[in-house]
Amino acid sequence: MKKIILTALIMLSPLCRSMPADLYPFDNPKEAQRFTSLTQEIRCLICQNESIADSNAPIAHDLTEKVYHMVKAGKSNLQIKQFLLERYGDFVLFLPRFNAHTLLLWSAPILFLVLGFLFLFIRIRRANKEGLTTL
Amino acid sequence: MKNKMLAMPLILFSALVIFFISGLHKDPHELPSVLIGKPIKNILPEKPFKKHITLLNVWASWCTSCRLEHNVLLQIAADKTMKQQLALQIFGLNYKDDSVDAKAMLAELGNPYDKIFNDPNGKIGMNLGVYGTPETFIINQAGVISYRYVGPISPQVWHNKLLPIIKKMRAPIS
Repeated sequence: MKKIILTALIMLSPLCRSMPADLYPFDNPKEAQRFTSLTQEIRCLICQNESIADSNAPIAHDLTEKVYHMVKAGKSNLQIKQFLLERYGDFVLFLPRFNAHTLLLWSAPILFLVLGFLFLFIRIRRANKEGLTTL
Repeated sequence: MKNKMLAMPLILFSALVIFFISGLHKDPHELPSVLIGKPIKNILPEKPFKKHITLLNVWASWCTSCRLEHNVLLQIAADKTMKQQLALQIFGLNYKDDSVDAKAMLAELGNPYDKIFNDPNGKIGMNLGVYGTPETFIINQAGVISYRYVGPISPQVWHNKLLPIIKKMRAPIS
């Protein structure tokens, strides 16, 4: 019996971590939703692959708290992002803004794909024209 | 013509290798500050910064890396001739710290700061885009943020990075 209870307790233990919802309460579920999605879009600048929602770094806590207060104060997502971008730059958001600066970043994957297909296309055409059996 | 085309993937790959190697040498933790070119007056009172080149050092008593650079700051502060020649001053921003602990640290290790701003809740730091102490800003005679260094200042960083920037600024503005 002891073993069963112990096993059950161990399996339930992951539920014991504190969810941000407890630390940052909202009356309005829409606000709560906004807060959750925003904190997952903002990068922790120390643990740079984690969002501020996931990271335990001090800056992550500070930024999460700031976002919380701004959402409660009725600021829009755009205003909150703008606030952060003005202080921390493009890197603070996981999805960079689309502007002249980041144009190459956004278009590089597609560019590579197009160039690759173009290369193949030209090669195949030439191979067909010359009656070659291999490329 | 056939040989040229065969070389293309290799050429492209080499270009990518060069590109990635240059990227690997950059430290992703040293983010460029977006506040460069902005005046300090929206973040801190402007008057103390005027007519001087200011090193604004963001530090805290709990920050172990800050202790690594403390000696360098003390040496810069002790060089009064240089400070006068360059119109240089060192300000401290005591970031998210307890003033009792901060004072104790300065009493123990020495105080390099001409002036200290207190930022107990980190608001000023957030407006400066501070994400990890220590950080040091260079603010020019016009009160414009001109450079930010992230990390403890070693003698090499001071002589090879910061001092040249300060010397360039030294030309007085009318």
